[in-house]
Formats: sequence, C-alpha cells, structure tokens
Amino acid sequence: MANDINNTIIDRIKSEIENLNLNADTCDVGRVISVGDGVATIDGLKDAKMMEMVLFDVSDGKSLEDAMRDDEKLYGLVLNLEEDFVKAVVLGDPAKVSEGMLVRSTDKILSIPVGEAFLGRVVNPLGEPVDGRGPIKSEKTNPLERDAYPVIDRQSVSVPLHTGIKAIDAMFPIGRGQRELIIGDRFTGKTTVAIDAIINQKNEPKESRPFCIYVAIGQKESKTARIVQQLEDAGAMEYTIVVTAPASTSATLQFLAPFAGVALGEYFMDSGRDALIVYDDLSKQAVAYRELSLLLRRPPGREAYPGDIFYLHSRLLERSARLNEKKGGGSLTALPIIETQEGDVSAYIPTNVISITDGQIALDANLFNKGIMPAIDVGNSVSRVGSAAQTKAIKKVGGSLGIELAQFRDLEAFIQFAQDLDEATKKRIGVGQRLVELLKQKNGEPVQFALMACVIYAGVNGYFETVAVNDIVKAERKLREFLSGQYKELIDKITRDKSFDDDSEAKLKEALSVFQDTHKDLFSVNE
Amino acid sequence: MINPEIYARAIYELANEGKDAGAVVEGVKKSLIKRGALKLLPQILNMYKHLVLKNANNRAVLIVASEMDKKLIEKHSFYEKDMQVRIDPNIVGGYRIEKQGKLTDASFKSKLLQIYERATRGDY
Repeated sequence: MANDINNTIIDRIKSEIENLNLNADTCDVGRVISVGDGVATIDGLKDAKMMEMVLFDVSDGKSLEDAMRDDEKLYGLVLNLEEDFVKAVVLGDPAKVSEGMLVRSTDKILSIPVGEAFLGRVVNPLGEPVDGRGPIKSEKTNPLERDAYPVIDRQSVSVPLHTGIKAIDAMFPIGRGQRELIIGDRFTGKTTVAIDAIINQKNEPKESRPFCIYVAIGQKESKTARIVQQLEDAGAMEYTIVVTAPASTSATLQFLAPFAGVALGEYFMDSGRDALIVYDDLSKQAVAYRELSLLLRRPPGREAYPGDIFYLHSRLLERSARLNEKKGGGSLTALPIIETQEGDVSAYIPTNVISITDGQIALDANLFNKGIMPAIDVGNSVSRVGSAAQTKAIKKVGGSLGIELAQFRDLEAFIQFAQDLDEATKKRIGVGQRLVELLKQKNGEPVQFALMACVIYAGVNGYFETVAVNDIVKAERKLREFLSGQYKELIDKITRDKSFDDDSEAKLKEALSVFQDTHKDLFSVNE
Repeated sequence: MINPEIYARAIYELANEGKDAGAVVEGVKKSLIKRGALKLLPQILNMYKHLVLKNANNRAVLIVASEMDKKLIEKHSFYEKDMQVRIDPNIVGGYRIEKQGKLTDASFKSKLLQIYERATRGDY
C-alpha cells in the first residue's frame, strides 16, 4: 500500500516535470512596511485592485526544504487603496507576516469555488472545508463581490417558498426571490424559524426544491454544530451548504461570510434553479465590518460604524432576486436575521435592513416568555410581496386569519374582565385564543402546506369552537395525523393542484365531521 | 506646526550624503525636544523607512544563488550594470529580478515549489 502511494507520487512528479513551464514568471510585487491587528501596510503594488488577493511570500529567505515543510499559502485581501501604499487584511495567521516581506499580486479578485460538490458540506468563507471530510473538487469559482442583476433581468416574485410555519405561510407568505427579514431580541427563536424553513424544503418535490445555504456569522461553534446535526437528522443536509465564520475567527472572515454564501447561492440561481440563503446574523457582520473599518483607519460615523454600512447590506441583499426566463428563471431567496436590543427596531442597523428587505417577521420576547412559539408579533410583521407569492390553497383559507387575530389583539386586554363582557366579545376572544393556540408550532416540526391549509380552514371556520383552549395544540396535531392517515388522497390532491377547490372543500368538511365524531373527548366544551 | 514628512526627508537626504546615522537621529531628537514634539519621533522614523523602501524600488535588485550564477547572468541582455546584486543560496539556482514594483522570477526554487505543490495537491 505504501509502495503504491509512493509510486503514485513519483508518477505525478514525473508528469509535472515533463509539463513544466520554464519561462520566467513576472508579477507585480510590493513590500510590507508594517503589520498589526491583522492589517498589513504594503508599499508598491501600484496596480492593485480593490478586493484583490495578494500572496505573502512566506518562503522568501527560507531554504527549499523549509518552504516545502510550511506549504500553506498566506493570502491577503486588499481593502484600502491609498496614494503611496495599499492596506491588506491578512487571511490567515498575521504572525507569519514580517516587515519587509515580499507580497505578490495574484491579479485575481477574491473568489470562492462553487458547485454541487458543496452540498452537505460545512465550509469557511474561503471555500475550505472545515467538517473534516476531505477536500472538495470544484471546477467553477464565483467572485465574492459581484454586481446584482439589473431590473431588466428580473421578474416579479410569484412562486411561493413554504417555510412550513403556519403563522408565516398564512399571513406573511414568502416568495422565491424575496428578502424577508427575521428580527427580534436574543433567544426569541429567530434561528429556529430559519432552520425550520430549511427543513421544510424536504417536503418540496425534488425537481423544484430550493438548495439551501446557512451562513453562520460570529456564532458559537457549539451552536453551529448543533444546527448541522439537526439538519442531518432531518435529512436536510443533502440539499444544504453551511458556511461558518465562528466568533473565534477574524473580523475579516466574519465580514466575508455572507458574501461567500451568496456566491454559492448564485451558482444555483445562474443555472436556472432556486436557492434559499439564511444570514445568521447580519448584526454580527455589521460589528465585524465596523472593527475592520476602524483598523483600516476609515472615518467612523454614527455608532462608530463606517459610512458605507448601509451599502454593505444593500449590495449583499440586492443579489437575491428572481430572474426572468431569458436568464434561466432561477431565484435566490434571502432570510437575513437581525438581533435587536430590548425590542428596539428603530436602532441604526435594524432600520437600515428593514428599509432594504421586502418585509419582516418580528419576534417578540414577551410572546416567547408566555410560551407562544413561534413568537411572531403579528402586528409588526409584514410581507411586502404578500398573497402574490401565496399558494392558492392557503390564500383561500387564510384570508380572514390576520383580521381575526388583529381584532383579538385589540380585545386581549379585556380578558381579565371576562365576566362583564357581552357574548359577542366573549366569542371573539374565544376565537382569538384558539387561533393563537392553533398557530403554535414546535421547533423542528414544519407543516406541509396542504395540511396547513386544512388546519387553518378548520380554525377560521369554527371547527375548534368546542375544544378547550388548552387542548387546541393537541387537537391540531391529532387532526394532522388523522388527515395524513385517513384522507391521504385529499392531501395529495391539494399538494398536486396547489389549490383548494369546491370538491376539496367538501371532502375536507366530511373529514372534519368524522374527526369531530371520533374525538368527542376533545370537543367537549359548551360555550 | 511640525511636519513629520519634512523631518523624514531631511534624515533620508543626510543618510544618502553619508552622514553618521546615530548623529543624525540624535540631532533630530534634540530638535524635537526643543520644540516639545518628541512624540512625533516614531512617526518620523516610519516615514523615513517608507522613503527608503520607496526609493529602493527604483533600483533593480538581482538575486542569484552563487557568484558563478552572477557571472552567467552578466552575459544576458536584461542585465544592467547598476543592478544591486544579492547572493541568496536559498533560491537554489536561476535568478530573480525585482525592479520598480515588478518581480521576474526564474529561480529554481520557485519552479521546484510549483512541482511540489501540484504533485501533492489533494485534488490532483
């Protein structure tokens, strides 16, 4: 076995010697003037471009043997072009860079290898695998920074992206190519909403299933590992790529991670397919970019963020689009996440990103603490694409859901006075409470849209009127099991047609009647 | 107001004229102390280093592995008489020329490293 390996390497070396180009290599070079805090100031490199990769020649002055031993290349990224020198951030260990070191221009803009081979893998923002499963073969690269498609190459968002979360798909539907922000305080379930959306893509037919990219920015490595495990257990990793720049990495990699993710997503979009990208979270990217900009001596603005902090997020999110048929018809849907402090959505970064995106799902800490999960604040959430990207089945049944919940919110304060209210108000409060319970959902259990349509139909048409509020969650789960088991044909029909016609409605009414008869213990409240 | 760049340029020109470096720096220090601006000394020295590097780039530097290689290179058309020559056995053979921000690398070391990297790359 060892002999085979040696022979293989010898054959490779022979082949390389035979094909060797003996001409002198010429490139632009510079010398490091100073290095500190991960930023190298380089004299020379007159023709350096913004975001160009430069190579620090760590083998300079070393013997051939030492250079072979230390064969990891050390790259830098040019981020400041000044009159007499350039500043480059070191993409690796800055301790290896010394004053006077030779720096070579690569004439390449920072790019990442892309392709199907990345599916199921965990990589860093440079495209290097970090999951210990070996190198990834790829033939194509995409630049991390690229102009977004112009208006003429796009078409309007009209194909639904099902998250599997009842509250979102019914009231704030997301379409393929849309940017929908998930915003809330820490520990309100933002990541859970995004991961459930990824897991729910397993319910889509394989030919139209979006490829998913989860970008972890500045997260704890334990959290990312847990998420990867959750995706693997749900069978979602086969169509998902994870890009990770944990809190322990440099600000540069945390700044680059979302761009790496969107470059991977654009590979699928450009080839006429759909992709979904989650940025978790952009608040940490903003902090990393602030750190980087201050080290590069760029002038600080409001809250010490650089002046182009808006542009950082706008140019990232504008790359999510739905392309027209001429460009292949592919799409890239973005679910950026922003963490607020004490529910303040009027802070600098949240308002920036809210103004860029096509809607937001606002998560409220008070709702979370009351046990309402997902803790979606219906009053502050919106989808600007709306029903244009909603499956007909859900559009038909979910139309009144938002209004019922809005009316319930207005009356919620009067619950404590239940004894003194008129019957109509009591009934409205009862309906509202049951709808709130109906929309509760467990972490990691997305609901397929046909089942969702049936459950919401039952909710808005009063089928749960005689179920105790505390039993609604149980009743909803049993109804889904009942329909999946006994009325599979109905569910398949709705799934196939994506609509809820009169025949389906009649069949569902029959099913609900049978369900009520066979579960009398649940339908026991007289109001 | 003291302009550090002027001080840096003065040091550079004095050094080029062959003045003793220690004496020059002492003189600069005394001048800065007199004006209460000693804290500018690190900035002035950084600018001086920058000037040295910048002007060094204007003159070509030829790196060869041995004296014998130097004699061989002198016969080539690209050889310039005012080239600064450095002997670095680490390049194994061939030559490297660095001039005005451009590097021409025909060293044996770079070719051997290329062979090694391509032969041992995992995705070969």
